[in-house]
Parts: sequence; C-alpha cells; structure tokens
Amino acid sequence: MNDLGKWIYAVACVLIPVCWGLLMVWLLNHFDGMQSRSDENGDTGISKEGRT
Amino acid sequence: MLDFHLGIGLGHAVSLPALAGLGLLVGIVAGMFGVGGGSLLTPLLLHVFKIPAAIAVGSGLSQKCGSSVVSFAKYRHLKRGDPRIDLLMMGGSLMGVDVGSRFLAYLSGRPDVLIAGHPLPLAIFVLDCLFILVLGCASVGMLVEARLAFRNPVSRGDKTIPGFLVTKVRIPPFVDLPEVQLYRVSVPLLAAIGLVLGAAEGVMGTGGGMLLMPVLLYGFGLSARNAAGTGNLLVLATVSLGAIEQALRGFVSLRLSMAILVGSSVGAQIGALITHRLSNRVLRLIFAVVLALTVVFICSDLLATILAPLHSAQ
Repeated sequence: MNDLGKWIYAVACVLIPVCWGLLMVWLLNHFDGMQSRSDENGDTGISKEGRT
Repeated sequence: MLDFHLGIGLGHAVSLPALAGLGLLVGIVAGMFGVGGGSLLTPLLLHVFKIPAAIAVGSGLSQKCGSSVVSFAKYRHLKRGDPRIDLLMMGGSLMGVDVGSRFLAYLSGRPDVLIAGHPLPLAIFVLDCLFILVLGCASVGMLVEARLAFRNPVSRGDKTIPGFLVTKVRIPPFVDLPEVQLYRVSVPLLAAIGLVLGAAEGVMGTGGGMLLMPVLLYGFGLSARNAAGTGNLLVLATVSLGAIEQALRGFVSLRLSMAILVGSSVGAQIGALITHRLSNRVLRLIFAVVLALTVVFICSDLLATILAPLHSAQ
C-alpha cells in the first residue's frame, strides 16, 4: 500500500465507525421521537387529530 | 464459512459471529455501567481470539471512534458535564496517545520475553500486567463504594463537592467551571491528567473512561451525572488520533472493529434496558464482579501459557 493509500485507510478507520455511530444516534432519536408521540396519543394508536 | 481474515498480514482468521458476540457483551457492559466496555475488549481479543496485541489495541481504538460519538451526542443532548474540561485536557491527551501508541509499537517490535522458560510476546505481557493493575484497582474501588452505598444509601444528587485535586493542587493558571460548580481549577493539572489518560488509551486502547471517572468523582468531586457527561469529547478526539496513528502503522483491522462495533451497538441498548431494572448499588456490585472475573481470566490464561511447557516436560 502506498502512502496515500495508507492515509485513506487510516482516515476510513475513523470515519466509518464515526458514521456508524452517527447513524445509531439518528436511529435512537428517531425511535425516541416515535415513542414520545405514541405516549402523547395515550398509546391508543389514534392520533389527537383523529379524536376531535 | 463465517470466518474471515482481519486483513493483509494481520494474522489468523477469526469467526465473525463470535466477534459480533464479543461486541454484544462489551456493549451490554458499556450500556449498563457507562464505562468499562473497552476495558474488557482488549483482554478478550488478546486471550480468547489470540489477536496480536497491537492489532487488538488499534482495532479497539477504531471501534471506540463509533461508540464515543454515541456517548458524546447522548450526554450533550442531556446537557450533562462541561466540555470545557475536555478541551483543557485535550492537548495533554493528544500528546499522551501519541506517546502511548509509539510505546506499543516499540513493544510489538521487541523480541519475546522468557518467563519460566516460556517465550511470551513482550507487548502482551506488558498489557496483561497493566490490565490486571487497572481492572483490579477498579474492581476493589467499586466493591468498597458498593459497600458504602449499602450502608449509607442517601444520594447527594447533582451537587459538586470540590475534591482534593481542586482544593490541594494550586498550580496557576486557574480556570472557573461554573457549569459543574468548580472554581479555580489548575489548568496544568488538567493537562497532566489528560497526558496520562491519553498515554493509557494509546498503550491499552482503552482506559479513558475507566481512569477518568474516579478522577472526576473523587479527585474533582463532581456528581455522578456530571462525571458521566464529562470526557466524552476528550475520548472521541483521543481515540480518533490513536486509531489514525495505529492504522498508519498497519495495526488496525477495519473489519474487526466494525464487527465489534455492530455487536456493541445492539448490546448497549440491551445494557441500558437492564439498567432501568436494577438499583445503582446492585449495578456497582455487578460491575465489580465483572471486572474481578476479567482479572481472574487474564491471570489464569497467563499462568496457563507460562506453565504449559513445564507440564509437557513432566
């Protein structure tokens, strides 16, 4: 592997795990948002708009 | 069929499901206790998977780039801790990780050490000694704390009670950290602590959280919540530099780090769910036992390796 290849691999060794971590953060926030919306609606599955 | 090679010239093939299982275990521990996942990772890679020391450490650093991003985002969202502490420690920490990773590369290039007539890679021997020391001390400390918590279960909440590192160490210049209720903290002290933490990360591929938590809790007197939220940015920057340095030396297997990271991402969620069902005191006790078992495992594997030729000679 030449020097440029080594540097690209080294940066990938940081960026790929970081991107995976950011994906996890996004997914967790997404699920948290879904959970809190579900709690607001009283876990009935019927939206507030639907009840009015 | 699911065995794969770590990369060109990076040793033997390892089982992908077993690595993901290791990641799951490490993630559960990290999710339950907040720290300690990485401290189990390197010894298990060395002794269960027989991965060379430098690659175990380098790949562990790469894996931590992903897990520390999640921790940093989580605690910043909760607004816990003070990132200025991380920034003040960062200069020392980045220098430390460079020193640590150079030291590990030096150890990896040295000939095997002879113990009781049995050759053992010097890097593995030094790492084992360091892990026995760090995990052993952490286990004893955690047991003592769990016992004290059983006697006096009153929580002090989010209050900071300045520890001896704030009241006794008076090396100027000083900095005020009002977000965590700390005033006139010595800046050179923070940099020196960062240097030690960085060196530990560079040599062992872990230790940032495990060593930093007692320093923040007992040395600076931060509350548990603020201590947990401090140091995540520091660890992220330190492991990123460490991973780049080790990758440039050819000591990082991205396949290995990603297999563990995927497993640990799932494990962290399971660990967090378990945490909700257990009291803080019980968690501390379990953590102390997990650390003690790891020390016993390292010692027994080390002894088995050393004693093996003696048995075969008999």
